Amino acid sequence: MNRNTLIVAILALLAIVGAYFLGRAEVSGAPSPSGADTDAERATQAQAAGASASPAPPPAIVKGATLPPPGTPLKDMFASLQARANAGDANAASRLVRELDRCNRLGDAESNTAAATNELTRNKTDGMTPAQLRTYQTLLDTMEVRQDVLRKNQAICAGVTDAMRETLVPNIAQAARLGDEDARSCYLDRGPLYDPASLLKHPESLRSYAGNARSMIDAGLAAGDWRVVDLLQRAYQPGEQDLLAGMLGADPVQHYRYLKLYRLGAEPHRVAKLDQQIAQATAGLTSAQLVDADAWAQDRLRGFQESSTSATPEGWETCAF
Amino acid sequence: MRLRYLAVTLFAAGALVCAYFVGRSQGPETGSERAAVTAQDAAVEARTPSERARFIAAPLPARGLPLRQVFSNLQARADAGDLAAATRLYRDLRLCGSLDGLDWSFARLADELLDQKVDATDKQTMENYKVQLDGIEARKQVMRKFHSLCDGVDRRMLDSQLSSMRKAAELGDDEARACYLMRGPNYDSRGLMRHPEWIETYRKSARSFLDAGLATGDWKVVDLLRRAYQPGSDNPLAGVLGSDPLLYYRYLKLYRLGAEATRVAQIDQQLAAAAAQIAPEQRADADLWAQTSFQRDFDSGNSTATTPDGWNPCSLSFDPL
Repeated sequence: MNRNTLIVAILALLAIVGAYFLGRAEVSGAPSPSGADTDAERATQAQAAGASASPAPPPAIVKGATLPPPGTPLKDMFASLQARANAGDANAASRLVRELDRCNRLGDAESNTAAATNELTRNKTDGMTPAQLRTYQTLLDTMEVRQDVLRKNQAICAGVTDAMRETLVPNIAQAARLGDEDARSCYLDRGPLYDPASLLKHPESLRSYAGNARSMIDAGLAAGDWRVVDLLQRAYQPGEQDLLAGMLGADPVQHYRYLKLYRLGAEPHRVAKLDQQIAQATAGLTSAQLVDADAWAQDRLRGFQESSTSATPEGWETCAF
Repeated sequence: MRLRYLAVTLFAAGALVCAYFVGRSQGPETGSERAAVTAQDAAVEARTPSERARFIAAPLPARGLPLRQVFSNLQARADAGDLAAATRLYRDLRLCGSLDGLDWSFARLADELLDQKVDATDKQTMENYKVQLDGIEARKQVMRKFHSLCDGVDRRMLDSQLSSMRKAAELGDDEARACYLMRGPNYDSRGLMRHPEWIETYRKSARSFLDAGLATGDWKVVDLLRRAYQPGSDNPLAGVLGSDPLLYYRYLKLYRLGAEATRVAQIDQQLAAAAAQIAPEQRADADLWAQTSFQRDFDSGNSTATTPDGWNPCSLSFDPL
């Protein structure tokens, strides 16, 4: 009896160990936990970092309260804006994104302005005609304005820490969730690749993107946002290589659907070119699929105001904050 | 007694379920990718050095063969250390990965040209138009070759674009190295959604590629380093290296030592700005390091001709079909 008990116990133990490793092995195919949590944690940590860097006490959150005046250094208002954004204040979230984006672009702006200034001041004025001198003076004045803007941005961004900078993408996502259309188009198009250096430190941003993108697409379509339609017709196009295409996967039927919807909302001068694209997109689709997609597009058009092509002119910038 | 067996059975089942979920929660150490890599490694490792040498010494598969037929062979040869096979594989994969997009672009161009209203009475206009039509026909022939190369290449093969390029970089392909360092996992942002582990691989391997590039006097690597360390840089390499004013100055100084005379003035201004961010003794050390490295490792070419303004590390050459 004792021997039987021992054998049963050993078998049970083996089964438990087997079940444990079976569980481990299956994780690779399991869906990941919501990435939004990881981004929220990042934003909260940065908020704490910002608060500890600032002598001011933690801000009281008042939704709809006045925003800090333009020109306020970001380091002084970061914790307050972050807390308000986290609490669902859309205006604070939008402001925070734009300030972070400004500071994220500052390095490029400094390099470009320095290069342009050097280029301009290398010109020799000897031998210039009066007309050329006037043009040159205008260029110098323009450069002065540009440098003035740069100085203001440097003052706004002074003291901004890496921890604050790294919240750019999660904050774009939060602003998008709160209805900021600029943030939505930027996040859908670029996602964590908008800040590649931070992605290297926070690979979990990819999971967040996968978790966020679908609901943002739905929100954009429900709000009649042509930018979302344009991003979708591009992402579903066979051969598209970007992040949204990677998440959605190529789908000729969906590509045709969104392209057709976009075409229905287009200005007359863009119609001919879009019709050519539509003719290409129909290749390989059945007539039943086309009829269904046409009806779908016609039906969805009712939710859109203005024209698709004026909302998304050729070469439009998806991250124009 | 039956009740006891029932209780034991229920307990055992409960333990199994618990063990299963504990296993899931701890996650697997290895994913499917590692299993595939291990299998390949095992196949290559199974060869003796002389077998490997014979394997590599055999001629590459004929250029006109479809990639799907030679994919495994090229991959095995690359894994065995065959640089030519590794280079051909990642370049062909890149072409096949972008073929759908190329199809679209060419089809659109052709449609636009054919829709043009041309003044048939003007001889010069007609000649220009004929040249353009001939261009379309030539492109069609090229596209047919591309299709015969790429038809049947599946998503699994395309998802190896990045790892194939990394392998070529490991074997000494300096174009692959520069592109991998510059873009990292963003090289295939579509695939990145399914393979977030590429980020960690990049983090772990970037430094060894940098070291290899510096040791072989690769100016492309010096340029990438100075760009990554530049304040405000937000590319993937900057995400691995972090910001460091001293290292920025070092690599900028090295780049300056190898510059053509026409670019020296501009770089000297950048150097002056970089020097202001570090202590004088640090500057002296960095100057010495740059001079020593320049004399020891960079004895051919110059920095600015190798990396002209606006160069793109990922505009890769392609072996004609």
